[in-house]
Amino acid sequence: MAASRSDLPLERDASARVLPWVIAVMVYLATLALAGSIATHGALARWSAGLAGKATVQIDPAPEQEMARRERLALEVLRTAPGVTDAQLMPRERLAELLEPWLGKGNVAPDLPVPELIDVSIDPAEVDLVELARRIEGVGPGVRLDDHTLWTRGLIVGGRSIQALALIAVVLIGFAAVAIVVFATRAGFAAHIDVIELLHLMGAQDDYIARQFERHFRWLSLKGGVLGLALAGATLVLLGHFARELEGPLLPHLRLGWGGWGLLGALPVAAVLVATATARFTVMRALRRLP
Amino acid sequence: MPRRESFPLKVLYGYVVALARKEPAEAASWVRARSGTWRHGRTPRRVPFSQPFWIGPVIRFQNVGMRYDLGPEVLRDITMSLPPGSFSYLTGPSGAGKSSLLKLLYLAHRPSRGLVTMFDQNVSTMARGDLPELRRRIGVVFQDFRLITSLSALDNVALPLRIAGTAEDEVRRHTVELLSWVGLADRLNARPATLSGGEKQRVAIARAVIARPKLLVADEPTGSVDADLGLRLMYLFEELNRIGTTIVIATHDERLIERFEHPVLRLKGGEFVDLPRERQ
Repeated sequence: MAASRSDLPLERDASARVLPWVIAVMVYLATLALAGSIATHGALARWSAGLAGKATVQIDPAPEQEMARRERLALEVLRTAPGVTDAQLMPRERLAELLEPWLGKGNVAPDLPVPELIDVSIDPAEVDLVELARRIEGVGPGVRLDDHTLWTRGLIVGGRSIQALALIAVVLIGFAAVAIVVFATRAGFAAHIDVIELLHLMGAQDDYIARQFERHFRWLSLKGGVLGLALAGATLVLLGHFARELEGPLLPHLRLGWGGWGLLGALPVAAVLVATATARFTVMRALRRLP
Repeated sequence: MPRRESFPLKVLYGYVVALARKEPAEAASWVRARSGTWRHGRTPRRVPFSQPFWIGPVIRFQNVGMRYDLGPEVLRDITMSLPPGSFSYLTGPSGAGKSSLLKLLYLAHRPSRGLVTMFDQNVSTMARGDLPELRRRIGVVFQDFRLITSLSALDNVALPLRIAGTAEDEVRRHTVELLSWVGLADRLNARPATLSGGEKQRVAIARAVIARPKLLVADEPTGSVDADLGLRLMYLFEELNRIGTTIVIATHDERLIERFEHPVLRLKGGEFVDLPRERQ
């Protein structure tokens, strides 16, 4: 069919050599930004689910009797406070477990002075955290209520900002890609205006000419998109590998999941669609200037 | 394609082949012998090719003016009418508006004012999307041939058929046939850069006629080729005219006009100087 071949020698243009690389870089950056956004979204969901409705009372190490008294008093306060659904003293074995990552297994001496922790479940709708914190602190020096809100609020605000920035970056990269394809198409149109005019004079419809540009840019952006995605995928796998090696406290939360990978896989497809549509629109617009 | 239509083209092919062998006299007699048979064919279904299937002139200009963008008018008050099967020269000094008038003829431009009618359709007010259909009935031989350098001779000649959406096997068949008839059977895949001037010209003409145009427009066809080639080209145009194609040739070669007598449209300063007699 006539549709499968090209009358315009577009494949010899500079765009054929340069554009796939430009698209590859853009898809690469967009993929990383989108991956960051998706991972942050997942991590935020897990953090808020894990932390909402939880609080901790910490009692600093003190002489044993004093310690027991403060414990009792703190539990008393918690039981009478509105909105507190549960308060459990954390057993010493659990504390030792929590310390293991820092001190090593079996290295926690039984007589090591460690703070006591009371795990508190709260109903966020009813509790007055300011009043509760004031009363807990009234129990004695070194007794504090940690309601995590400082942490969660900071994390959520920070996470949301990262997400927003990543999405803005993806959108901006999209705009840049459109601009580059517009320029490449115009350059191609100008370079082949003689042949285009000739086809036009032989009775070619605008669509006949636009299809040839579409096919050219579809192929170029497909090459670039696949290359960019492959590079970005390799980068993400490496990042994940290092994150697991480091066992950092935050990085393990950054997981993509199948949905995330699927979304990333859609990026080259989007790049191809955007490039093709942009090329077509640009050519059809330019052709309207011919009589 | 109906069988009966292919005969005139074959006449043309044979003629061009004879021309390629530099035997114009023999070529003409070859055509005469065969077109006679064809014109007075024994079966009544053979409609003479020279009779048009539309009524009225191929082209009619009424008070046509043309300007480029906001520039001065390069054509003023052009009124003319070309009947089907006519052969006309378009001449005049440089800058008289020959190229502009040709552009109107092959629909590369629309008039700024006045009425242009082609094939009984009003071009001045026609929707842009309807023009390609009309352009496919017009063959153009450009002064510099305008072959696409990246395409083979075959693909260059195939362009008008492909643009018209002809099935690929037909495109191939017709193109190979026509190129063989013009003596380029062994140059099908040659790029224009590797063709000689005469070969290029034959490719350009093959491209102009492959879609069987009703109107053939040639811009200075003898301008950039040697006298011998120019002469052979004129014989070819006369033969095409004889089988019914309306022909307009722009030239400033007065000797050519004297040698092959046809009505002359003479432009000067964007106007016709002496209006040609209407042939009806």
